[in-house]
Amino acid sequence: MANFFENRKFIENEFENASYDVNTGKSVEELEQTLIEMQENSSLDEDRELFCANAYAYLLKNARLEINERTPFSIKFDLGVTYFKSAGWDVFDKILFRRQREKVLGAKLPKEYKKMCDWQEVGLGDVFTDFWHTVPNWNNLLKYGFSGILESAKQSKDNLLKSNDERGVRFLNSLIIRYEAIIEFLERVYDYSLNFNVQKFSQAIKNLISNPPKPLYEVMLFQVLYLYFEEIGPERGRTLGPIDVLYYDFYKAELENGTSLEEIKDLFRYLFIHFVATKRFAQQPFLVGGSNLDGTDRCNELTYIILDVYDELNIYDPKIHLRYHKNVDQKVLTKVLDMIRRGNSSICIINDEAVLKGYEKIGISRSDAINYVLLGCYEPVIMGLEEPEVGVSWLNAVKPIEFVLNNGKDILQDRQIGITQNSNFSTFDELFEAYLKELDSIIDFTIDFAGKQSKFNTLVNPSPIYSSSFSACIEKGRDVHEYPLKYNNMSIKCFGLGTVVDSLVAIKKFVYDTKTITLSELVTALKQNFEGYEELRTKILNDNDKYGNGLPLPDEITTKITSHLSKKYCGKVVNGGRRLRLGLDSIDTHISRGRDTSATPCGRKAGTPISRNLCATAGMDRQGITGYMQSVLKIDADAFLDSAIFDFNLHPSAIEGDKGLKDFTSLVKVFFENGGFGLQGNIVNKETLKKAQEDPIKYSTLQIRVCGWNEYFVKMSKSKQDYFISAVED
Amino acid sequence: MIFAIKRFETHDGDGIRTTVFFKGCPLRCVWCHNPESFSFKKEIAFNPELCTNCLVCTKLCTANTVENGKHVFNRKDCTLCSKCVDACPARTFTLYGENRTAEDIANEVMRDKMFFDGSGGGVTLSGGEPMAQEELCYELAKTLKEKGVNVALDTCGYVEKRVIERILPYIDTFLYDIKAIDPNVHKKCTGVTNERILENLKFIDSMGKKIEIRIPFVPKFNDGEILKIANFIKSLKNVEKVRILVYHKYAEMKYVSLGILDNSPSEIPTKEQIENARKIMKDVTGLEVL
Repeated sequence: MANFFENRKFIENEFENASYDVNTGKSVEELEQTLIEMQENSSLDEDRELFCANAYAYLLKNARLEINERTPFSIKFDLGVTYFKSAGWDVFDKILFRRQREKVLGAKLPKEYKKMCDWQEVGLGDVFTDFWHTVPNWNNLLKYGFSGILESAKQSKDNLLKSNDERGVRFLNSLIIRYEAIIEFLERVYDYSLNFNVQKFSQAIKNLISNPPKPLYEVMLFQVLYLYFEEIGPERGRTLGPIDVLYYDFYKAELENGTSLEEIKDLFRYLFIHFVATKRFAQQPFLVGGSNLDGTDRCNELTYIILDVYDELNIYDPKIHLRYHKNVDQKVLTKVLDMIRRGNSSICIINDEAVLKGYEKIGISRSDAINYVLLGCYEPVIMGLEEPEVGVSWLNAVKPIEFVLNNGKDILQDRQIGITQNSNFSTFDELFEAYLKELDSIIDFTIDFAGKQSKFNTLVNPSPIYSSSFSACIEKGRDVHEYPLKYNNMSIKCFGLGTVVDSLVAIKKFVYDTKTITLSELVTALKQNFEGYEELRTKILNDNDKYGNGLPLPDEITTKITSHLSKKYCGKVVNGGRRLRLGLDSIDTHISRGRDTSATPCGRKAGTPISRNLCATAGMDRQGITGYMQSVLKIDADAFLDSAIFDFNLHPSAIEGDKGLKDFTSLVKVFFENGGFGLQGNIVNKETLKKAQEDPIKYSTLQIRVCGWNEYFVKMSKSKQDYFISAVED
Repeated sequence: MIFAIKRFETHDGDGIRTTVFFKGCPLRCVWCHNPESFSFKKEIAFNPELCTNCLVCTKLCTANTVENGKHVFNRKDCTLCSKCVDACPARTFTLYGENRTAEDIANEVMRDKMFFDGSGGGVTLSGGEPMAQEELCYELAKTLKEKGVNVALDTCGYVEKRVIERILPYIDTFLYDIKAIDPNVHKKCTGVTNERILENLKFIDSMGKKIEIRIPFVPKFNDGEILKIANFIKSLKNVEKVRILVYHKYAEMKYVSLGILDNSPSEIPTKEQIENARKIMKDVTGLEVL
């Protein structure tokens, strides 16, 4: 194996350029055909877990292999996963999951399913059990390894047979079939690997067939393999966990065995570049840092090594989560902020205190919550104890304004969706109440539907591989989506806060306070997309009272909405014992849902993006970052455990030099010490983005923090590029 | 009268600061990049580059007219009614100048107190020349000081010593400009000679106040003054650092927008010239030079 830097370019493109050995299995088309026949012949009455386990075993047995001699993470197998688009979207997902979901929900919950389809069509949102955001319990997995998990499942099955727990036995049977397929697959990979110059890899595979992973390399390889195995179907294991802590003992053992620091760094280089190569959608996260229960810091020498290697590679996948607390290692914090400052925006910093308070608010103690990790973008999960079911629904909170103003109608499609019957409001307070009622009715339906559909989780998508990482699932013989863990929650996200607040402020000021325009005139202006009402639109846009500037009126409306959500829904017990977690993030649906949203009273035109995450309307944060932060800090972050992430844009000149880095650090600390949940952002100016739009080749490496992930600016759609250009400073 | 309040300023003093820009200045530095700070009166700026020719403003007053189908802003007819500022969809107009009380300004800047406290920052009074509005400058510095805020004063120093004596107790740091030592060069660059400025600086130094010296560096105007300035600084006791301000041409459009004749120098300094100036300054004064 040549040295890492010679291999890097080749590895980065290994998935696009993969050439699977035709002698090692069947083509994707053949696999797909078999799955289609299986699915078409299946009925809703049969044992879906067994059915899926057999399909899973069939795929692992017949998938074609490729081994790359240039990386220690050599193995790839072909299930039609277009890794450069995303993991998880393979033949299993396409045929067995998506078709089954439609079939099950269409048959079992026809009325609700139809309503949800209507919601999707008008850009309001959707409601699905989210199998796609998972955090396996890495502690357990690394402790037992593949063979150990299989062994525990067999033992547990014997116990459950004795107690006649048929349900448990059925679940464990499916788990055992899948794990036997995994072991068989590893044996196949081992035999095949002997044809290549990959002795270290072969040896590691051989060990993983019958033992838990031991040296650091095997731990990393195990994680890479487990993610593959979990991802067959719609599932996706996200964070690699707190790797500075998780790997620490293995790292120490390596050093004791004489492995050099450079060799350890090389392992991280290859691991990180493996994730660059897989190009999974939204990137693969890992966590560093955080506090212990006694307030001490978790950073260690491995944290430095990890950050140094990451920095040296200048990559954005995997992505980094850093847990901040008041005793965080200053060297680590400064290093991370400096990396962000130099353009590596694939880093998100989350405040332990806000998260721990957030957990307390939904009834979970600090001593349990202290081991939280961040799932995908930035959602906290207590690894091993909690099934958070993140992102059951992303709701467009702007839509209800449309319903309130138009007797419950969606304007662009002229469909009755909302509950408002009469849009004549004599006071702003009445209108505001109607808005909250619309919002409530949407959330209530979401909760109701989510609860009903969760009863069919194992019929839609059994998840034994993900479940296998939890002792509770194996001992009780229950799928994780039957909620056997200590904490079972679900989350709902409401996004578009900036657009909502600016719109309500505009209605209050221009319709009710100054009486510049009547409500019906405003509604006409919105229906006409402000055509013929340009002066009104200008007046609204030029008005200073906008969310994101720390101003009293917009901030008051913001907190009225967020407090309402907090009081009514945060931690609410739903669907037989689960607790509700709230989030205010949008991912990138602010663009897609914006397309279906009519003009809004804040001056936004129909079809254009609505505000992102907790952000101000693009370009309306006119008071600078401290003013912006003050608006954000008025929101009770504890109530939005599922994320109240603050996205900042800073002009590079504002934080240049040593003083700039010091001031940047102070800014972040003040934000966190005053309750901020977390932050991420871009250090870039408008001019650079405009130049990049004109000259994509020159700026091909310019990366932008989109939501909880990064994208290359020049590869974004024009509308997305324009959104970011409008959002940053001159 | 002030013309702007900017938050999260990191270049004018320690830590995170809010800078209050006073309107009006007794100097006319040829290189000034804040021409909106010259006059002590309100002004409307019109940036023709942003105008979309929508003609909304032409219906509002007699200063905005249409000629050959195109919008024209007639500054001489402008009564500063500001209707155009509110109505222009392209934000082409800016009103510079707001009469505000010290208390009102203090209340606004206090919003960022937590950031000042968390970063060792505070408020910087800048301009224009803050001390040219003696009462406002005094009241604001005093009010802020009483509220426990660190106050920096960015000054050209061209005021009566009496004014400095009055304001000095409420200032933590002086950001003090030296543009030239030779009075003739100073007059050519700024319109006034510099005896009073240098005397005032010596006085501030003698009072033990923390000082950061700022030197706008403009080729062909004051580039020959660097060594002399360095020697002068060496004679002072309380200068903590020296900042060489690199001349740039970004203010061109501001001059156009304000209808002020732009006599600013055409030549910007090279990297070598700047490094050389910084080296001389560092070698002579032994101070931190930015």
